[in-house]
Amino acid sequence: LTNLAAEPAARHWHPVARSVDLSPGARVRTVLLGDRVIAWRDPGGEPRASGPDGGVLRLRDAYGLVWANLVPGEAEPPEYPAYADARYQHALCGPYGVRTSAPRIIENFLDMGHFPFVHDGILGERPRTEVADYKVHAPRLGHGPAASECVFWQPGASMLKHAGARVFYAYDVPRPFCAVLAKQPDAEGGQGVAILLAVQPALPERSIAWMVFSTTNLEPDEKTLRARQEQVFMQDKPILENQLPGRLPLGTRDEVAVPCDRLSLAYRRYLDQQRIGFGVIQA
Amino acid sequence: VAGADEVPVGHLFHGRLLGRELAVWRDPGGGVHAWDNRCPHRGVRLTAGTHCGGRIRCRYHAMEFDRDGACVHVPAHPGLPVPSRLRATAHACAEAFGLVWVSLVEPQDLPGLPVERPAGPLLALRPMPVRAPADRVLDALAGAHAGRVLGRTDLSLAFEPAAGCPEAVLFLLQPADRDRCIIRGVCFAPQQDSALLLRRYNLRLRTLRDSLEAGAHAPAPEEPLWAVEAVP
Repeated sequence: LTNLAAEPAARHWHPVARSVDLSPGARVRTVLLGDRVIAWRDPGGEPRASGPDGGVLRLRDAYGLVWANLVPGEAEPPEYPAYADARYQHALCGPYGVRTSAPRIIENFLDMGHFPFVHDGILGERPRTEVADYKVHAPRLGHGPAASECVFWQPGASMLKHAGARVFYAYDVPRPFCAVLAKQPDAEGGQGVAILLAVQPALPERSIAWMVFSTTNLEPDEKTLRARQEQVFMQDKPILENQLPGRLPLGTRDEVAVPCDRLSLAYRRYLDQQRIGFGVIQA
Repeated sequence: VAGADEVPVGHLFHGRLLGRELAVWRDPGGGVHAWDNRCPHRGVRLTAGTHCGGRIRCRYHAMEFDRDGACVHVPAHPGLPVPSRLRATAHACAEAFGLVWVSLVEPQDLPGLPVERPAGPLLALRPMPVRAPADRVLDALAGAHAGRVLGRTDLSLAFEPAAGCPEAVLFLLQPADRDRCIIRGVCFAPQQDSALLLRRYNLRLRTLRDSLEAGAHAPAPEEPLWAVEAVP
């Protein structure tokens, strides 16, 4: 059992279900930070949940997900600006069970170097494997690190184009187990993509990944968008489940970084500064 | 940690020793290597990667490591020097008696065995994993074999030829982790057809395993971590 009072991750919001899962007569049984949680919706439409000792959790509906907060801390789930932008349509993806820690999943999401090898033909293409330098922004109060001016060659990154293109990315880590990606292929395509990845930390080395995939391309339906995102995530999953140890090491001795890992290093420092204990090996 | 024939060139063999996972492989020159089974960059199992002749390529970022464990190629930075710390952890590894041997501490000679290696042909037995600690397995082996015991160490046991077992045999226990070990063995100067001999020992070791594991219950199935259910 996690000592929740001592675990900073317990003060944050984490997704535990899709909003549509909590329909009348149905409830969700799951695990959050090592504790059993049961969530349902009351007759007034408000989400409700009970924790292990019958304690009541705070819940919120946001971005099509139900978020839970175990220990009173921050006021609301993290911001995801694309959801309020009328130009975007959204596909909700998950739950995807992954046998690794939440921070391993987030770190993989922040990594461009694996695109040509794990997502060959989708997010990258050999021999264009080089990762150019990018800007890393230090965490600010209540918010983790970010990166901008990330650029990578992608084959057919835009659904409007069939040729490859240099794609510009920005990454943001608003919370320890939550990350946002925004990508904008060069001006003429004009298609914008944003992805919110929020990982439900169930057990230290078992997690449930949830994503909101948002795009300005209005052609495909939600099912098609979800299938595309699922294809990419299912390529990441076997990598994630083969990382040893499953917990993310925050010390600098266990794993050796290369220059394109600057965002990964900033993320590890952020978890260390936040004193996160769940799913990590502390420095 | 492996039979010599379990490690052909081109394959990455997943070994286990004292709770540690190993990537065991053979270079085109015939040399055997045993590394910690994780890429030094981001920890992905090297056995999930690719054997590229004299190099191992990680599945995640396609970093390549030479036979000494040094990273020699980082595709994300083809123009930059490779950090010298970017090395797979290599252990002392040797081949003898038809088996691959690893030492996790300082490189050292092969362990003292309770028998001299006799001249003549030998035959490595099929491995038999057992869910029991090494000392129990060794006791059970000592009680189950017909021949006179020639010698015994913490992890090995040698028998003289005897009626029904016309060959000397050396059993070696690989301590995989706390409660699991792998029985390996070598027959000296096998007189019988080797396929028959392998089958005979395999049957005996299987019987031994079944008796050692009798009463041990299978782990309970895991509960799902997420489910929608009807409100009772």
